Amino acid sequence: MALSLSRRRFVLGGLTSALPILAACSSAPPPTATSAPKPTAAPAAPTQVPAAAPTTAPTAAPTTAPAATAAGAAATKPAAAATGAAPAAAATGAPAAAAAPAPGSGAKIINVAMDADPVSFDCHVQTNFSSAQGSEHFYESLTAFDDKLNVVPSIAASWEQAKDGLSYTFQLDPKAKWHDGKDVTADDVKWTTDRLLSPEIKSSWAQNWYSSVKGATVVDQKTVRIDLKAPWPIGPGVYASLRGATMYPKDADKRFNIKTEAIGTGPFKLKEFVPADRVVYEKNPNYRQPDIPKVDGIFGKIMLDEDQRIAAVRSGTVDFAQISPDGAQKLAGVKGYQILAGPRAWVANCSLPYHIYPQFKDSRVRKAFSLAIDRQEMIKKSLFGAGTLSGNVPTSFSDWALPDAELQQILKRDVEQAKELMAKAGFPNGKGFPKVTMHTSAQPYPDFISNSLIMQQNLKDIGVETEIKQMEWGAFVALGSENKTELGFTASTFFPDPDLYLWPQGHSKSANGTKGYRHYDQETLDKLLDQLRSDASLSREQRRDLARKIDRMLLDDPPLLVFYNGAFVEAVSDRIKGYVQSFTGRRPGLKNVSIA
Amino acid sequence: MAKYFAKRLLLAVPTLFGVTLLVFTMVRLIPGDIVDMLVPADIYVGPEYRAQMRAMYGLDQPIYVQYVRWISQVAQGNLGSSLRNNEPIAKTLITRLPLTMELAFFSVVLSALVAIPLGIVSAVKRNSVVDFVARVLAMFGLSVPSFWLASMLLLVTSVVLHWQPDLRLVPLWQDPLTNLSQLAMPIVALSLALMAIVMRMTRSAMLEVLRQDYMQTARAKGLLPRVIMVRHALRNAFIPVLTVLGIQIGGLLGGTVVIEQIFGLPGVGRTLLEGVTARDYPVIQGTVLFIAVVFVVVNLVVDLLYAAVDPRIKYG
Repeated sequence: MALSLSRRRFVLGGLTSALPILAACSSAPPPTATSAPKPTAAPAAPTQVPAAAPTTAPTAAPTTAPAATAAGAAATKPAAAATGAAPAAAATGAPAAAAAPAPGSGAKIINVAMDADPVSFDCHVQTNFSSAQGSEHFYESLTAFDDKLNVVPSIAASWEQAKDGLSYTFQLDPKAKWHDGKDVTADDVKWTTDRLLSPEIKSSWAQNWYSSVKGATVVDQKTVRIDLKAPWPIGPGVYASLRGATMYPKDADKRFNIKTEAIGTGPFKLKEFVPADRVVYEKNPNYRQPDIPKVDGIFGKIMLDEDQRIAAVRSGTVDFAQISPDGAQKLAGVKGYQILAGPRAWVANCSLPYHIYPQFKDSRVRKAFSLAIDRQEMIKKSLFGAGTLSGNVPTSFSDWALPDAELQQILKRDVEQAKELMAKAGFPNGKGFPKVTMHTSAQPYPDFISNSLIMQQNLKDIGVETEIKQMEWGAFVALGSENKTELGFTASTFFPDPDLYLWPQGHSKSANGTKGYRHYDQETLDKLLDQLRSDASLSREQRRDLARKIDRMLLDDPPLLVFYNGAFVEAVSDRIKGYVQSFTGRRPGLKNVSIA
Repeated sequence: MAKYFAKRLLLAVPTLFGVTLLVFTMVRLIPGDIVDMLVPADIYVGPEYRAQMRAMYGLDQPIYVQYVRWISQVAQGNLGSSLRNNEPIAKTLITRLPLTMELAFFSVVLSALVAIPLGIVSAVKRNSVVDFVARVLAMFGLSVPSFWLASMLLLVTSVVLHWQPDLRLVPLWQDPLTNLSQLAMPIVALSLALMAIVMRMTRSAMLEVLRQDYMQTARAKGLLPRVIMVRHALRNAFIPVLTVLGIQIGGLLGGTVVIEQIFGLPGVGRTLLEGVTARDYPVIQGTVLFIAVVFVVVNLVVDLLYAAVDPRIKYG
């Protein structure tokens, strides 16, 4: 009896307790609201403008806007989520001055399928591109790029370089305000610079792109001077890239969780960030540029799986989705969307193992490898045609890159000449050449695998045998860190200046140089690279010509094998008006779009 | 029962201790660490700088020192924080657990609702057309990988129905119908294999029971066939089915990794996958330990349920 009662109680108890459990078995509950950043002292009154005449010094010549190719019918299909229901979850730490659009309120919300999780908005520490993509709508820097890749004012209204090239003085825009309503001051810029350079946070950006920066000096509340160790002509462009360049309010790391919350100056505010699920942005009504943004917010749904993004496009659930060229094929003819395939920086390449196989220290071998590759086949098969030939500086990067006609000549496949060079290097028909391993990873870029397969076949034509080893992405990256990658397939994304594409590849003091790469005229190459990097007296045109000259030298004796520049393929809903793709691979254009 | 319960809880301690040792060691056998992920080789910083970063994350310490540090934290109820965004792991798991539990719970419910009746019918009508169809379906369910089924569901619903759930997840308690429509595809994808296992287990257990003498006795007593099936056959056949369901609930918590990734659901499985991809050791360790605890608890509950199902089983 006692046992029977106990069992019944047990079962009944189980069922009763299952009800609240079921109720709790809901989707992720609202994240716990964290403390809002405390208000700071009232901003100081703007002070005098420095004597120096302000400039807006564009470092890139205007080019044509990225030409988007369109496919698909023009019929507008109202997206399912057009009414932009706000998420139920409460906002996290960043203050929400503007009310979130209520479900069914008719608020104009753009729904974006995000192909990567930002993970963290600490852009000083994070190197992943998704961090910049996720924060670009609410964080800004001193400068920015326009659609044509000119460096234009952003938080700084103007700037000038000292005559000795050892400092930049930035005049802050008096209208620039943080999302909490405070003015942006020179103290904020100084704090941000100090933090970036601080050994405590171990920013790899400080070791790289910002290695010329010595520190920041407050001239007055609206004027800040960036002091340099050496001339830094690429400085304004580097700030514009937003990589390691995000401006934070003073003491940001004490006021809020700098990794998951934000107080920025951008056209949108960070309303909510739920890692692995969503990033929600709301309009900043006090943005310094009138009538921007034109929509009430952005709902970014993190969809790492391309099948899910494609399904979301087919069903009209999202307005934007970045897809692969393969994915674009699957969406051919989908109604209510355009498939855009404008240029962006995506220089697919293959590293060479000078440090493992001394054979690669012979420039004839490197050149033979380059001549053996059929890049057109790669573009056709790996990208389904959505790409162009490229030098080290990506094609369509303003006018920094080599013209296409020249690239067609330089990068033309020539198996006979490749064989000849191999023979001269002591490897007739590849005899005696070691079997090299191709290290590659399909995650998250399937074109790398395809490139390795094509290159394997291409190299067979000159008698070189290879073995392909596919790896998990983390293992692939770790192999690179240990300098054990042999032929490593990867790609370069957007860098703000040609110097950053060229110097790290060819200079004797670069990573390649330390691994054993020596150009047949290394002395000249080093001299030119140093000049490009630090000669502040060069005009824009002189720098362009210099960059092209270096790129030619590197293609003639390649430190790595450059394949192509891939397109930025996106499905964009017809209800979105005024969107322009960015060569940077980000979506700064969202602030200018409207919803039909 | 209380004594048995306490004994099982005590036995869970060495089990979980073993899990901590295993996961701590194994994650460090995977090539790469958080520093490699944060600073890939194309961002040249030099080995000294990498070493400094490793020291910052405590990865320069001998592995046993790292383990003792971590296990001390865990013993105090602190699973640590993510190396990537400083978020406390316990908070992340608590936030994401309900979704994964919901997926697992409804997958089990759906599997049980379909598979148990089908298994009974299949056993009772042995070698009939129904039995044949049920067995073929079970083979299909076992053979089809859940990730393939998930992709097919995405394809079919988007191409044929032009439908996908809204991007904004609605909590179950707020709007159950909308919530279930949002999770319908992942639940189906998760439950198919489980359905097949449960159906086959129910069928074989029922066939075994139906051969027993007491079944003939029950029939001889003139009991209604429904009563014989439910009270005498199913109840006796249910223990192995319950065992399978229990194990699968635990398994589903880990099995949601792929499904949550494909459907973009922020659950525990995805937390684990993110941790592995980013080599975020504390996240991997914390999540695996958490899943292990759930597994142990579910198994304990299932064992206790045996007594509720079968009066012959007594604990204590």
